[in-house]
Amino acid sequence: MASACRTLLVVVIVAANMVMPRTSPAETGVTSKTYLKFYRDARDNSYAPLYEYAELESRDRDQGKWDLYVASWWMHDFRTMGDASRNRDDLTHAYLRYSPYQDGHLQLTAGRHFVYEGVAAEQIDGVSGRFEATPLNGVSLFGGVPVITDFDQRTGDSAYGGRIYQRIPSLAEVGFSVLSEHNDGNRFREEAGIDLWLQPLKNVEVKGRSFYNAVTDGWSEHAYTLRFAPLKPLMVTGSFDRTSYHDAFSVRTLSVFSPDFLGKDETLTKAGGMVEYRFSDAVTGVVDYSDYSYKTMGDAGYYGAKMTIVLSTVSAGASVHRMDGAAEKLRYYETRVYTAADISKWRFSVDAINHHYDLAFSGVTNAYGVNGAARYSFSDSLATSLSIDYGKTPDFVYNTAVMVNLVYNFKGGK
Amino acid sequence: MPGTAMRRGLFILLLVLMLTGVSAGPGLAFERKVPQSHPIELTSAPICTECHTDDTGVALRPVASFNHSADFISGHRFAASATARLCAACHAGSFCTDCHAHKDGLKPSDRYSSSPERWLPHRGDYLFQHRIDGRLDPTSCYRCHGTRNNSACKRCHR
Repeated sequence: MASACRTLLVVVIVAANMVMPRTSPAETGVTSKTYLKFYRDARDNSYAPLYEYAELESRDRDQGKWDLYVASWWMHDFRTMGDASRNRDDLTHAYLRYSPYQDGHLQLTAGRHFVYEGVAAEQIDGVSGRFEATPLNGVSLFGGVPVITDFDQRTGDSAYGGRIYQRIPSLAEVGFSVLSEHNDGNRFREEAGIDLWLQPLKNVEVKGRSFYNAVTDGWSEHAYTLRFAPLKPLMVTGSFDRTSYHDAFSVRTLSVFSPDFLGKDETLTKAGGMVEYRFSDAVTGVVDYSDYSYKTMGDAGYYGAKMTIVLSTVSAGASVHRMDGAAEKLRYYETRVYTAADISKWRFSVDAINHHYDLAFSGVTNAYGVNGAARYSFSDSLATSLSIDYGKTPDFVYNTAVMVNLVYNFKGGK
Repeated sequence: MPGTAMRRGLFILLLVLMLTGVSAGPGLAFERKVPQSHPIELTSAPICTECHTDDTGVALRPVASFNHSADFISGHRFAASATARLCAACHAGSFCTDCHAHKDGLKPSDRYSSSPERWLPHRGDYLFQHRIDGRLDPTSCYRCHGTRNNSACKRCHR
């Protein structure tokens, strides 16, 4: 684990020790999840990575004034020959959240955490605060160092922003948000956003957002959804999304999102709808359609249906979709079926997905993957599972992956 | 819009907020009291209105707005932004961490292979299909892998 992460972890734990009153009743949970996976890649290299995911959660049991959350993982591959990728780790979250008032209208968070405030959906090492000034309006502010893929040094990096909102009870909420990020002290991202929630009629709801990229001087995204519930078990949803690649992908740490590769002037307009009907508490059916329209590429349509059944000990689902596009790769059927059953201390599941391409790729028309898993719970705190994947795709003639997993969790309070 | 203008705009908006905040009526409760944990354990995505039949909601929105219908996942962060306390009544922090990570470890669908009912993305061997999905709608990839969670992607996409 990088020294900066270790320092952050120590700071969060010391701060937690200072904030948490000694007399406050705490509920603490520790979870350890260990996975050992065996698989081969397309070049027939073997891998046997061992993953350890550890989490610590502690919170004020009575008043809910504070909570502490630390999550990290570590991986060692027993078979990889090169040292570069043999060991990896990450401190995913390490934060302390403090709400001085019982109704929670002020909430302060410090450490490595995720902020989701309008245009910002960022992970930062820093502080954030939410303040509901009145039931009708409030403000959120955040600032710190962004946590992004290590593509350069973090010195001189910063991210800050916030969101303000105004509500009209049971009718509307409008939020305005901004995000500013500097990399090596230079202007990197400057984005502004409007988010909207409206209920013009009792059974009609409109939700959406528009994001503006101030660096490229253009709207990066508009995404709006209309939900209509004419009957209790029926939900009709319509959606409209428009994305300008030039404005949406101007900042990236992966070359594949470069507009030079995807098309500089490309714009994706996605419009569609979904009808969901709950036949009973256990059975739900969904029919959906999405139209993908591009400025320069050929268009495509994706449509199909899904059915799910959830009973007390058994769940099952099936879906069939057709992708119908101008490009050869965009003409296929996608089918999925699964079932899971809880029998005493056991859980068994089977999950299969199939893509039937109109045109064969590398001689393969049907690409499929099947997973079978068995899980046994020794107690509420200890469980183990075995998962086997078997598949065939144009990249692999046959591919098998095996994974064993051990989960231990402990929860206690004082 | 230059950065200075953006910062000035935020300042003006904050000022407006404070002024309107002072004039807000005292009759409204901050929020329907949300318990620290839901009194009944839920085993699948809930349709809240099946039990909560009254019109009062959370964050001055009706309960129906938080129904976990099939489209809920696409805009769930805005629901979380409106009232994170409601999410926390059922979901532990680890529920978010399963997907919202900084570096990619195991895929969520691998970690929870015995829970296919969660419809987690990238099930099975996704290597071939990701090229098709990525070309079709790169925005859906970018949200998670644009600036983070992409060390595995970098093995091929430098």
